[in-house]
Amino acid sequence: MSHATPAMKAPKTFGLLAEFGSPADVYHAAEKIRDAGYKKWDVHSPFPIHGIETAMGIGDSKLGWIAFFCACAGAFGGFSLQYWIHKHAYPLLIGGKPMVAYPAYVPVTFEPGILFTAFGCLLGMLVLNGLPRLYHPTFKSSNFKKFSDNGFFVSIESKDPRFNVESTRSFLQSIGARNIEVLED
Amino acid sequence: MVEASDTLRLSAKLQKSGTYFLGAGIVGAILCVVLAFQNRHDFLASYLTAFCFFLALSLGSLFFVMVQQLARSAWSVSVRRIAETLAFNVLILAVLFIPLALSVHDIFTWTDAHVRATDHLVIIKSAYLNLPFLYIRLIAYFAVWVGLAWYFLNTSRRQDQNRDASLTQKMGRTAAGGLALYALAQTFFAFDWIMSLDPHWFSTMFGVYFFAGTVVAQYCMLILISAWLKKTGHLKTSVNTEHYHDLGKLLFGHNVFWTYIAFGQFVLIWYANIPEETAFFHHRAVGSWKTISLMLPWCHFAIPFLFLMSHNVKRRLAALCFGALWLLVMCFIDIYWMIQPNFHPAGAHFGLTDVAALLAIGGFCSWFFLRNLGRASLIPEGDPRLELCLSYDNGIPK
Repeated sequence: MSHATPAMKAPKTFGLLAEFGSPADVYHAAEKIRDAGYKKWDVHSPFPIHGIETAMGIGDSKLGWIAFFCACAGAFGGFSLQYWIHKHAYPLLIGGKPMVAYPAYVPVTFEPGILFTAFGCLLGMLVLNGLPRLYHPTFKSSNFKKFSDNGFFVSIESKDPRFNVESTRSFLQSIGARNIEVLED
Repeated sequence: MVEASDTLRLSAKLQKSGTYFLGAGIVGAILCVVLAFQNRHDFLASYLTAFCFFLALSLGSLFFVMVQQLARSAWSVSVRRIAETLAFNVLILAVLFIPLALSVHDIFTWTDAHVRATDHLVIIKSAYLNLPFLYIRLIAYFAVWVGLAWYFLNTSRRQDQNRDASLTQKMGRTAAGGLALYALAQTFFAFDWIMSLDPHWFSTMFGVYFFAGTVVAQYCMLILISAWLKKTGHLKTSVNTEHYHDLGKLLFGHNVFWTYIAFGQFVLIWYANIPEETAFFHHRAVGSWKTISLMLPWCHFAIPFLFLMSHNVKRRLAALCFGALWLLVMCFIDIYWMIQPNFHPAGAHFGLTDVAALLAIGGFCSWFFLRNLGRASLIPEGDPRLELCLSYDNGIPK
């Protein structure tokens, strides 16, 4: 049999990793990669670079909407719970107020709203970032260890429709990248 | 650096337009005098409401100026001069207060000799609610406000000339003590001139409630004035989207704070249901007052809350101005709702006296404001944090 068994299959290419000399270099490179139309790529830097979101063409985060809908769900749930209890499940006359005394429901409507928003923010952030994650193909590069010290990197994934090992490599070279490596999954 | 093309001085045209406001103020004042002879009671209700609204704008501005100085904030430097000037309107408001100070017997029920002798709750409160003390306090409030407003405007203008960074440190220190005095004056003013309209009622939160409204009104006004100056060709780059975004955030935040205080005051009184406390809300659940009471949670909180939430709204000037104008109207309705049920228990009736009082006080205040705004640069040019302010960025992807 000339076919390799699945276990022996050649490793898939994850993408290309390229190093840049300074935050300014990686910033301008990001603008060029954005303008070239790449979508599945990232910038790695030891510290936040001001305005990098704009340079990378990242739009608004979806997290705000996730938080908003979680808040609505929490507030609606908290309100409905009290309404159901006081109206149907366990009607109890408290302080001579009406059975369904809306003003008293506000704190308990507010609290699950906040709680669900916090859950939504945390979990939404983790999901959008692809976390938790114990392994990433960039770890295979020994050069990449500099990313938390003095290295500025760009990784372009092979999932990107514009990705082609040869043309992407020469594109990265043309915008000033060095130490370009092919990363395997 | 401030861009050379930016206009930092009030144009001659706008300076001249101050005269129209003065004219409007005089027309309003004449109308007020005529209406006051016809119906003193309605006039005082309207005048007190309009006065408190314009006082709220200036007190909110004074708070804003002091907090920004105290917090050593850089982002707000280019809008601070507008707030400093608006705060200094307390001087003309002190003059405009004279008709009210002379009409205490028509405004308050508790000054009546018979009430003071027979009403148990008024007798208990007489150590505080008596005319000499009321006037002493009144003078103290305006002394604090005018003194602070003058200090911050004048020192900041002096800094325009001498670029002395130590003045910023001095203003920061003064702001700390100033805020404490300001808080006392504001709280007790609200107790004296709004809460004691119903001498039986009391709420320890009332001062904060009035304060929360003043700060919301102030942010609305600051946004609208900045936008108006931009539209008339001033401050094109010195006050930019980043600054409007922050003003919008603070407007949003303080409106939530107002809601928290308003609801906190309401729910405690509603839950305990003690007659002398509940009366306040009971009077506001009658006739058309009920509609206005229900407007507050929906139109002052819920709608602006959803509207101003997204940064896309806060970063679009036209949308932000719409939100600011909406909330400014709601702030007026809030003050109207605090004061007028004491004068018109059967229901709200917004009429000519309200228009005349707003025209008179608004006209004089606008005239005084433009006059002071024209006397110096539109931004504190000597502030050491101005550079930082002009390069400020919220980090929103563009």
